[in-house]
Amino acid sequence: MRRYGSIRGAGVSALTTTALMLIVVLPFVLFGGKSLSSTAVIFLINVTLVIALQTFVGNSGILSFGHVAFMGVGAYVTAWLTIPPELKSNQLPELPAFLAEARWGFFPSLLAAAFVSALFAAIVGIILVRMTVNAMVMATLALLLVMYSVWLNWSTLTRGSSGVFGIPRETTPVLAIAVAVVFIFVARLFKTTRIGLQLRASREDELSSAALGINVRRVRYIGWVFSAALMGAAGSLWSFNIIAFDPGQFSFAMTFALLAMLILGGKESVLGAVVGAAVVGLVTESFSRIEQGVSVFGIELPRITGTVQFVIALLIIIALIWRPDGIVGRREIEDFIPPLAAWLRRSQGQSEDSASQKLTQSPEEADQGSSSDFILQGTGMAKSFHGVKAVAGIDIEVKRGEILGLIGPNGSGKSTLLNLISGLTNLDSGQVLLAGRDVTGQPSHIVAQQGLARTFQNIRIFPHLLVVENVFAPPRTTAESGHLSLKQLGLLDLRFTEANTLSYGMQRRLEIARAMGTQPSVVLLDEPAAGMNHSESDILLSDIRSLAVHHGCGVIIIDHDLRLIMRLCDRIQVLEAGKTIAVGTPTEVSSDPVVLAAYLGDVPIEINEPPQGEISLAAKEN
Amino acid sequence: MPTCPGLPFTGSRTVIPSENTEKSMETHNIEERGLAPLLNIAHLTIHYGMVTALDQVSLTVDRGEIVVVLGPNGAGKSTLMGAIAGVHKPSAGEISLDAMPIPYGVPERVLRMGVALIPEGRSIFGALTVEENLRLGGSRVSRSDVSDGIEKAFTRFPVLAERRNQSAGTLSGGEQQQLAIARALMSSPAVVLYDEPSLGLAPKIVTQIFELITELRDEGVTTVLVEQNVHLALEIADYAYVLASGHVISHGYASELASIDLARLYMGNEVAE
Amino acid sequence: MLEFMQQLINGFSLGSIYAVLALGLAMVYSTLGILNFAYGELITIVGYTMYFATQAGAPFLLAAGLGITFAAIASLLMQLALFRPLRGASFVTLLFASFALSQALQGVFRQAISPRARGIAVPEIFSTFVTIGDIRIGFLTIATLIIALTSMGILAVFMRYSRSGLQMRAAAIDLTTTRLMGVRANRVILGAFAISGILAGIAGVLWMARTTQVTPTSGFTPILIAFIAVVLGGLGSIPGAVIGGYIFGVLEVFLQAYLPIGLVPFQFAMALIAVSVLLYLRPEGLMGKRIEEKV
Repeated sequence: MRRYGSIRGAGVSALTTTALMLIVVLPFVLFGGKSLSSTAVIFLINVTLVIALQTFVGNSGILSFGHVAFMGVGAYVTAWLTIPPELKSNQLPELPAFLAEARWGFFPSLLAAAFVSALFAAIVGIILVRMTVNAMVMATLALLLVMYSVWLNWSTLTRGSSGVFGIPRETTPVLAIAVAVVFIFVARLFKTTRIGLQLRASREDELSSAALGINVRRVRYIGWVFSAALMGAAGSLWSFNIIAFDPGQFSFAMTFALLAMLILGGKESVLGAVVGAAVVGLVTESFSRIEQGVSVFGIELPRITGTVQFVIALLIIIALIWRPDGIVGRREIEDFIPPLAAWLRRSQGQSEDSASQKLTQSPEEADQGSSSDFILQGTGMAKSFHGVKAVAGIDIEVKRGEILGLIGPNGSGKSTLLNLISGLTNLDSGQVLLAGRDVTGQPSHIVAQQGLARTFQNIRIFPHLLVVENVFAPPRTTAESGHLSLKQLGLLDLRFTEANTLSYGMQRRLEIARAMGTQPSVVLLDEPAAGMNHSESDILLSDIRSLAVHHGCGVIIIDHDLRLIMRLCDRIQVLEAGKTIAVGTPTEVSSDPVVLAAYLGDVPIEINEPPQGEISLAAKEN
Repeated sequence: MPTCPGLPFTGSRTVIPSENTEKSMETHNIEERGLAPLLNIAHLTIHYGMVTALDQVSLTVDRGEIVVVLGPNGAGKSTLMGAIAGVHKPSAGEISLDAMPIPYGVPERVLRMGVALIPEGRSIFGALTVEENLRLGGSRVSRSDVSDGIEKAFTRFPVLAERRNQSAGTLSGGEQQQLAIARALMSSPAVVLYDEPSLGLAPKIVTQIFELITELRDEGVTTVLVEQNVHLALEIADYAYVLASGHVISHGYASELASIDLARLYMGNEVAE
Repeated sequence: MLEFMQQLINGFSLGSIYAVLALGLAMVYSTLGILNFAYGELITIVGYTMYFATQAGAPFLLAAGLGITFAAIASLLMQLALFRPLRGASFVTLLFASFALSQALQGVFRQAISPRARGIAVPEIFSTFVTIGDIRIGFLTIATLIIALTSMGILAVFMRYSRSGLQMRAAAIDLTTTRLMGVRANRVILGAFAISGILAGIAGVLWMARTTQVTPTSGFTPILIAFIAVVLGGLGSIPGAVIGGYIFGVLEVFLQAYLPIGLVPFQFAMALIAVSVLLYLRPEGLMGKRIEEKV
């Protein structure tokens, strides 16, 4: 299955970032002599650490204070595996035999560090991803503290506060460059994979991600473990350079330094991680020089006097006020080089177009046989909030290819009903069958994976993702269905635009495209035409009609523009005070005195002339 | 010429006044409704992000009258109320009370100028007691006035007196609406803005609330009422404005707005020529 | 049994400090949704104030009073200089900004005072013991309990019966509606920061009376504990913060008292793991509500 996020594009982007990094680093390495060369190595190590942090923090949007714990795990694993046995027997006499004798090389240790760190993260992550985002941030803090106290006290393995020493220094500039380059590639590619994309979607809007079938906990978990693996490897690299360390090094000062680099540079971008490491490195270097000529470089020395920390902290505060998204913002390197971006898009566009040639003109009409059956059936649905019955026993059903309008005065329970169907709100009682399967009580991402898609009253696109990324984030969307959906809603030419720069009407259309791309059997549209002008909503209306026919899915639509509803819908269900007061064709409903009374007040009024049916029929034939 | 979204889609015949008639109505309006209205809204435009919630809305409210703002959901009625109360920031236009411009973004100052908003859904503090809710309403008046105000509220709404120490969340919908009104009156406002007071209430209770609104008007409280229940609203209103998609599409004396036209506005029905 | 009682009192005493700490943090969170990382530095400020005051010959109580005053002022300054300019920023941005402030302040302490610990002279009576029946309890333990409970009692009365307290409670529920009642937002927010600072001050005095020394990073453990208590109790819940503080205090004392000797160094880690298990079972915290986002 081919989908958005060409691996090639990400690769080219990573390659360019690498080139930029090398331009900065190589002069130091080649002509800088020993001191500047080691400065370069420290910069490269910082790049790996910050990139490891970025893969989780940047993509998930969840601040982690705890990643330094994984760095520590990587460093200790490296120490156990690489300190020469004779030194180890002195420092850590009670080390298990298989570690006491170990004498591993650079790359095997790096991999082992990554593996152990990932394993550890996998265990911690089970608890972590259950929490709300804010609590999760606090929990990462606690994680660092637990590990700090373990390292401090588990002397058998760590020699406590005295620390360990004797790791062979293997960090040549070439090795450091090699590892940093691998990190840049891996992080940039991860961002582009489906999991990375879904993780970023959950960062943008957790609720609508779930409503589109993304298992937010799962993608967070994967991102967490993956990032921890990188952090373990980066910690290993770090320890190969520093040779000796103690638990105090995996402290808040380190956490702060890494987060500062990431946030200053731009946390959502791999390029930002590199730039942040460079800028903070530069500031640190300058100020530690000023500070009584301390020739020691690098912020990873926690006992450095206050100036550097103070300056960086101040810098961060100013940056947060002045540029909350960091120096490079959300952009990757290709966004700074327009010809490169254009070329990438063109080549991706071409390959997509050739793929879409294979599309059949009318896909997805597989089970036409069952088209008369109800694809969605809700029975006896009820929900109270604080003792008020928002939905008080509603039955609702829709067939394949049918458009059901849901209308009623403010507060009559329409949106609540959609939330109950899509699993965003739990039912008090009642049942929901989707394509014959009972989805009652299922979380929204499961319901969505079963074939339900929806849009929201207040647009909930993923604002900082590209249009194409918005459409391809949901798991059910395939290369073909996504492409088709973009095309059908007229977004193909805009697909490489950032979603929040679209016009309002186009954002509404994007939300529908995102829902239709999942090839839903039922789609719920909550006020799709709200805020649109007349001509926009007319075009949208005929598009919805043709989409419903084309995909053979059932549509439930809420809108306040009753004119639109009357013309568009096959059937209309009218709610008032949480109950159904009428169901029928537009003609039946619009002349129903009960309905008019619900809208206008208690006094039923007479409408002398019957509404014209032809108009609505005419619209349907479009 | 602004489009009229309430306009039936295909038919050319409409009861909604065109731009020209709107202008003539405005002149008529100023002549007959006094030159210095208490509340004056001129060319108010409000955007939410890229959505235009209100577009060049002008309306006036005279001292001691009930002005009702009608219109389908999403027409911008609540936004209008929020803007008057100083919650929303207009991108153009201005709102003034007694020729004093209303500040934006500081609802607490607008309240002190004498405008009290009863938001949609009542916004009662359910976790606080009835009396505490009332005390909050009197945040800007002296302590002795608060006690007086509470006494008055309890005289007017005996049911609140019975439940003064109960948490407000345990009140019924109608009682909560009474509390919301009583709370708004604590600051002795010159203007009270009601945003859909009938929402979620039984018809009998709605009638009572509307009687109360009339009563308060008779006591001199200038009233702006947003309501979906068109007939009840027109019964008590002196003047009415109809909003659709952020525009004033019609206005006039309550008695002049025929319900048949409104039905068409809401339901989008066509009436054959 | 006797020892158990003694440990229980010790646990409650320690828990009282934690509860006051957490309460101060929760006051600001519930009103503004800000977790103020630099809250810990208020404790450090209390420590240094007390250090300099006692050095200058001030009696302990005066030093404590000054410490509380300075903490309250510093808390107000944090709002005015950091959080107000960042109004409208996301939770993460605010959290990280306050983290940066905390690091900056630590840098200042290190530079301007000393990276090393400074001892605070405490009255000798703190190290005496009181015997009630068969139970022997440290004077400081009892004093801590009484001071913390009294402070929280006064706060409860203030919040329950005063006009400002009512306004702050309302603002914590819904700031916009509270403003529609004519309540000045800035006043309520500053009030929350002032109370937060005073609570940090009280907790800081009790903390310093225990540790008798202050370092640039003295605020680290207190802020951590406050975070844990607040999350354990349920983010946004004021009673939750107090309960979380007590649970963590009692847990810590009991782990210290009853863990096998080899595991005692890990008591903090174990307490955190125990909290994690609680949070696994109840991710929204003990008193927290599952928030259903309005869509």
